[in-house]
Amino acid sequence: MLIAKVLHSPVAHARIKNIDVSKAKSLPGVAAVLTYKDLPRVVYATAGQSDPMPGPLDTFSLDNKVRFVGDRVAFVAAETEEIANQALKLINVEYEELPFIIDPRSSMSDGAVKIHDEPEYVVHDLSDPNKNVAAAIRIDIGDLDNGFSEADQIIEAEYKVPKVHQAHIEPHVSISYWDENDRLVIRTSTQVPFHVRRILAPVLGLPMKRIRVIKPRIGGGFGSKQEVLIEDVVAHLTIATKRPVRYEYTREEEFIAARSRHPMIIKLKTGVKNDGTITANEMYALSDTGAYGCHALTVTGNTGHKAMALYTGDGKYRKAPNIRFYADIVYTNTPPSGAYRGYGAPQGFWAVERHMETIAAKLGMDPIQFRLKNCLRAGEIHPFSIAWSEGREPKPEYIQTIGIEQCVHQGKSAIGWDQKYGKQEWRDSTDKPYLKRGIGMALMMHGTAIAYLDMGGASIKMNEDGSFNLLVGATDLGTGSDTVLTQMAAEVLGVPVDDFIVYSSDTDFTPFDKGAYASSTTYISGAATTHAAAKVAERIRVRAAMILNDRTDGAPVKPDEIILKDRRAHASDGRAVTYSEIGHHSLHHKDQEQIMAVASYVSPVSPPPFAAQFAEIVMDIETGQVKVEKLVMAVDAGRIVNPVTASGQIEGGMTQALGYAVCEEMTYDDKGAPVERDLVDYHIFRADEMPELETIFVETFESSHPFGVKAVAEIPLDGVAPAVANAIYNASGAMLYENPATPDRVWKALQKQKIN
Amino acid sequence: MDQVYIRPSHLDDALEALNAYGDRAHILAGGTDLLVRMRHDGIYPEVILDLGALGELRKISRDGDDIHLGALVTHRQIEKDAMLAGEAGMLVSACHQVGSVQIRNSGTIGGNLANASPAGDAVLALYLLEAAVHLQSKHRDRWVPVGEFITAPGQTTRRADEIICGVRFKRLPPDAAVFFEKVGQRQAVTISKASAGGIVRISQGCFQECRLALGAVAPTIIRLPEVEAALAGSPVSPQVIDRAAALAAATCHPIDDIRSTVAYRRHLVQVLVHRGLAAMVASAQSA
Repeated sequence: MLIAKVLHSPVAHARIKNIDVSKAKSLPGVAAVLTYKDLPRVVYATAGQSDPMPGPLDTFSLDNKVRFVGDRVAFVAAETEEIANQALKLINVEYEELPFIIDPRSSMSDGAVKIHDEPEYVVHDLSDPNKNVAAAIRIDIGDLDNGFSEADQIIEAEYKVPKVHQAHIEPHVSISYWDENDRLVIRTSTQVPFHVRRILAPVLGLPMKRIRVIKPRIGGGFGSKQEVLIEDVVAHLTIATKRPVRYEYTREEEFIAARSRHPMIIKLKTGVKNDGTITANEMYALSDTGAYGCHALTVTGNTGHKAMALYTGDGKYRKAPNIRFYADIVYTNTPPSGAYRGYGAPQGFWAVERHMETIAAKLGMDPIQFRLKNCLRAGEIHPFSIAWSEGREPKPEYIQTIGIEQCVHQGKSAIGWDQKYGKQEWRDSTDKPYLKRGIGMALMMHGTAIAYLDMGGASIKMNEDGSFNLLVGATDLGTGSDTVLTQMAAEVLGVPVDDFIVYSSDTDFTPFDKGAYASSTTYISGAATTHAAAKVAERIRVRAAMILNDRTDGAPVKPDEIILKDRRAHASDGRAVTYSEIGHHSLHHKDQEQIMAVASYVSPVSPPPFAAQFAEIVMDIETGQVKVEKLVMAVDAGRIVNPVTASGQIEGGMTQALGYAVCEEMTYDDKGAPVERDLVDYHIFRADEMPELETIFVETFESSHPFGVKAVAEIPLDGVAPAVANAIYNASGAMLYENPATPDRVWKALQKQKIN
Repeated sequence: MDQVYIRPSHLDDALEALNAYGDRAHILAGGTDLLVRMRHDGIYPEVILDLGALGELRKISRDGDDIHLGALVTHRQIEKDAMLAGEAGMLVSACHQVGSVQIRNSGTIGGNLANASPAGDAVLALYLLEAAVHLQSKHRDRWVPVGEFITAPGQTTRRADEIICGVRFKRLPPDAAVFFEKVGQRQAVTISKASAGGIVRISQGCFQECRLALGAVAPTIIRLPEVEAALAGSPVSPQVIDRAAALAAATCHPIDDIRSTVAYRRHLVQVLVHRGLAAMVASAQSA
């Protein structure tokens, strides 16, 4: 198998004037060197999303221009990794360097260099490459000006969030080869195998039916693999060499040439009455998509759609909220942003939940009472559902289940809020005068799948021995979704999960599924699996009735009287048929048939999970060092199918969110070169450094789903950073507007607080 | 290119090998630096001289007031040694705050010296102890004060044929109070934005002797001779401590880099020196 390597750009913005690969090609052991001259020029987008792509098309497998330090210049395939790396050094490139943009605030300036000047660029909705705008959002709900005119106070502030990295353990890795039928097989670490196939077909110039994408067991993605990131590299090289090719990202490539979370500058302006009623709420987000517009519209759309939907205001504003969410998502010459677990919502909740804390303080109100007074209640409409749907037609969604008051109640009691919040004695209860305790919280809401768009399919086939094959397109990326989907099918069919052989996912064999993103698998793919199981159950009842009625050892039985339990079909008179008998009977003995069903599911709603995040800290008010001592998250994610995997999601999510809160940050030098290129300089929390974590599930029953579930995957990313910053405010009075809360930043906030 | 890997069982053999290979050889001790560089920076040493089998360099020994740490003594060994806490307390607390337990189990005091990082925690304690580094080659045997041994980040006066065999320092007198603290991005497994350590002895209400060292604020670990001189003989008082901390902040020359800014580092120096002196005074007075 050949090993692929990619030559990455050393400069932030340049046209390739000359590229000479002759020396690299003549190196023994090199099978192919590809540049933009060797590939068809097909414009596409790398974001793994459903058709039609909700964003601009602005990417080529290889281009005559590079747009960030780390952008692609050439592909190499060689017999060994050493030879491939050697070949990269032998490629001679002459760059015509162009002005570049690092700060998103200058992207839209007059006279700014155009990052995308290619004629093939395909705009989407409001995107405007002439102004370096990949996407823009203008959402107005109600009458904002009127809302502000009814306010007693208007509170404004600017917030900032950094670019952060998913840091999945397994890097991106793909293998491709021609199979014996002359079809291109791509085995890849992806969250979106079906999108890979659809998006790559035109890029490779192959009919979709000649491509097979296999997703084996994979080691995490967190959105990073909701991207068609490196599959085209191996595929182009297999097409060029006719040989199997493998490409695995190094950790450095993950930092310089993958996707990460959009950094944003967010302005908030909120009108409130003196009794704490929010009358109008306005957010403007300037979002930095980096050099390419992957997920540009949809990530930033989520920033408003989730964080600005939680607080509609009280009283008459509940029925008629005044909300504005505007955003510009601009290009810079930095590595592209993309999907990272939370998908825009962590950025939004940092701003909104810091802002709510400030407003409550200004009004002299209890911060929790203030939030609960204004937040959504059951039966109310999701305010954004009638205003915006990623460019599709918006349709109203009413929210049925909201466990947020219970989340607050149980979370408060778990962390001991009433004994700590506002208690000077507790604040000072450390062994040093400069160490102070603080406690803070945040509320969050997220979504469950994308309504009217996300589809998952499942098929179930019964075997002679009473076992079942469950084939799902749903993509278990280490989340345990294979287990959870099997649990649902097993529940419907009355068998232990061990009787299932589950397989995910393979574009040749499993039904379509949009993939693992948007907190959708348990809900969407789970409903599909449940419906497929119900169809199979129906045939099992029919066959069981047939067998029992042929026996003539009892009264006639109707299929709908039969109960499925313990691997048997039970008649009401006590007689039963084993699944093994049914399996043999259906395949071999009489009126033979394959008991098998396929079902798919798409939801008309995206029921939001809700949560309350609590954080307790100790901080050094002289150095600004913050130590988080305990995190408690109380979550309403509907009914919990598997408490172990669900609490694992919450704990893992809080771990990543804590990095966002206190230490993770990707930065670039003045030439646009990434500063952090490994896990030494880029700090993620290790298991043994984590504070005590507590997860509380406040179970509601979401009636739009057969098992009553809502999503659990992304919401734990949303609230830790603002809860920690609110705890810093509680401990010291320091107001943070920018995360993470590094000692330097906290110290600066402390200085400012002393002046005020 | 073939790689030569040598793991001698006796120091003489190691010195012989180093004499033969000179700067073509890289010395491997705990591996927490060299292996990371090999994997990460793609360095490919022609010769690896693994000292791992030299049990004689793993010992902590004592001769009167002299304490000797073999070069292969790990941070964890220092942390767990029953007597060092009383003999050189800030060395123990510095070692305790290095990396994770796994790193402390592997990383050696000799490797920490050779690495010559301005943020090295254990080395900062050796500056305070005024330790001497023992260097041996086939032909030479010499002792160099640690402050002269380290010259710049990653740079030392070790010659290509020399092995760091250990360090020697005098145990602190029983009335010495000590201090070590660092500030980093996270609580553990992190490289300091600034660190500070100190030793003071107080008698009759005055500072008798005072040593202060700072890490991560200059190209090497530094002592603060002006502050130490100003304190020696001064009466112990809050005003004196305030002035010493301000002098420390004024006389150090921190830099802006990936981990922090000048203004913040200067502030940290002031806070850490102030805190250290106050803690040492409290500890000395309660003893």
